[in-house]
Amino acid sequence: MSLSAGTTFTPVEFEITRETLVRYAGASGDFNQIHYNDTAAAAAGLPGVIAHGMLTLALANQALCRWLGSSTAVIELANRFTSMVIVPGTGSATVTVTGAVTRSTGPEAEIELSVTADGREVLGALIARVRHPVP
Amino acid sequence: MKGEPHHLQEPFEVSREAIREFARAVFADDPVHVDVAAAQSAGHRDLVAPATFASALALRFSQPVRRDPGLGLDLTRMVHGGQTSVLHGSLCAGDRLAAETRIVELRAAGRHVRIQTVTAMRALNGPFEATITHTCLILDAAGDLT
Repeated sequence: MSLSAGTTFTPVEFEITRETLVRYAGASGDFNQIHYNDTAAAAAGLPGVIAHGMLTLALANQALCRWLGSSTAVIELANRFTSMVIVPGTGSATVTVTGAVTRSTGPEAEIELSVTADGREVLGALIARVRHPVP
Repeated sequence: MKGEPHHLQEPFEVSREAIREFARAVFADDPVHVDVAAAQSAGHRDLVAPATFASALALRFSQPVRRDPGLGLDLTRMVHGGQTSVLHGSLCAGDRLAAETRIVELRAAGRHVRIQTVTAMRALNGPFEATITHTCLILDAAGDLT
């Protein structure tokens, strides 16, 4: 796949629940209780149980993989965790990923992604550098 | 303050099941994460981990550094501030990883404490290498991130 600067991708949405958080805790080995225990989240001064930042980043990467049609193109992934995804005890939170190609020169392309949860930006300065053309 | 680098005591072996569980946890539906034949026919040694798996492992491998009693950090108040992953090659099932973590920054940031670590990771039996930076914040008693 060839990428051109300025190309914008179709947004991808994910619905995440407390079950998603518990599953990610087990798969990643991050058992910080603020990601599944309301009491621990409140004691840490948080407004509620929050998703692992790394889960949100993984969802952004997953959107990227779908856009590129490849799971092995990423060379570099950098971001800040700017806000928290609060996941209610019942129901779900919606994470939306958008992205656009910002640079495409030689063997690499750069994609800037934006991730929001219920309308609020949760990852900042999220840049993916990928192999180009995409393998 | 920054201390000696922290090494894994023994290599961390990445299993097929660990990759499958991680892929399922992050909605990664490409067969290269779950189906060995699909991964190999796409040219990989074995199942391929999603790109953020290495960073998730680095966060885990670096936790003993943040937990060092000498630092006195209350990790129950820790949130993630940012990360950078630079990957060389794909992390595959069967890879046996060595990792070394150093603290590169530890300072007050407003009312919080900011700690940044760099983890250098490589497969002892394959071409995969990664350098992963994690920045964590220890929130002060007032909580919010402003």
